[in-house]
Amino acid sequence: MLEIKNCAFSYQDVPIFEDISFQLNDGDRHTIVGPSGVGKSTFLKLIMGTLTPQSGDILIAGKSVIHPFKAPHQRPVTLISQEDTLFPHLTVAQNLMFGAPKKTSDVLNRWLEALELTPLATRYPSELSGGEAQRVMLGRALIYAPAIILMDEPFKALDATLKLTLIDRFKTLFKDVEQTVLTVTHDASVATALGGHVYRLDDGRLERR
Amino acid sequence: MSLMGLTRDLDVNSLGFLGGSFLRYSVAIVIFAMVIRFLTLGMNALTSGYKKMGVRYSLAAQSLGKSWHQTLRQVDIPLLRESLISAGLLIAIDLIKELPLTLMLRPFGFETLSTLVFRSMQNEEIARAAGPALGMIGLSAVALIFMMKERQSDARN
Repeated sequence: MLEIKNCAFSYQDVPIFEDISFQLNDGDRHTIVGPSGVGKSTFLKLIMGTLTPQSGDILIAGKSVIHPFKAPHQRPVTLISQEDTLFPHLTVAQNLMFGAPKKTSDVLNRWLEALELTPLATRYPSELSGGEAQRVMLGRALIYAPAIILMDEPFKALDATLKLTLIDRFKTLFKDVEQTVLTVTHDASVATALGGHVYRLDDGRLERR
Repeated sequence: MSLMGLTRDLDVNSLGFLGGSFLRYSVAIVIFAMVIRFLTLGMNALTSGYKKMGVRYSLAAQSLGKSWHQTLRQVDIPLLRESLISAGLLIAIDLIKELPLTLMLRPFGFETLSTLVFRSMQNEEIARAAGPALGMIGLSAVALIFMMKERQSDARN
């Protein structure tokens, strides 16, 4: 499904990856752990298309997204970022339906219920707590329903209790969807709690733990 | 070469191949000159708004399948609304009182509030200048009040 072949990427002449390869099959739920600054977010940005590798290739569903280059919106991938990216001028309901292929009230109500966000549907992002905002961002990605969901430190700003509660909720929601999910985190406990295979990224290399 | 000599040599009437009178006396050239003159003012207001917003929302929209023009319409423009209105009002206030370019480039019989004030004052007709002068003050005040109300409502939101 997702194949990264011998990619190299340097940032201002500083090599981040010299020859990195990785593969994800349909429905895989894997996590990459590594200390801050090793290039975890860069790795996701290469897949997303906001950065381009200097060499190597990235294939999604067997087709290269580098030759010819496919822009982020043309790739069947979405990214749940570590920062709050909920659109401040839209309500929770509007944020959830932003990328929805079918914008019907049935779809919205079903997801509001599944995410336990029904009472917050008309609120704006500035009126939400960190955990609520994270749930909306996850819901938005699931409703958009691309083939691959990338999560960049999704629980970074949350306290330990809320983190575990949200991981449980994420796992429950992911049970009912078919998407491939790749999470990057610096926190080994998050990687263990999320389940699936855990890879370690260090010194430009990815190794399965 | 003196500055006077340089401006004389660069007189637009001498640009025969471009049609000197077309360049000098048309509404089109007035609009063109105003766009160039006020571009920096508008760009500064927009750039500061864009810097404050950052690229995270645009990237999030693209990662949700929106093309650049959908992102512009659904995310960038609504989020830059305050900056766009501020830029428009700042330009409007400056346009109302702009004089030198209009005076030089306007077609025959084309008047603005500032040219009316200028002409009346040249002829020492102070009473005739009062109307357009008050009009300029009134329009600028309306623009300013509108801008302040927009800022207050955005601050509340």
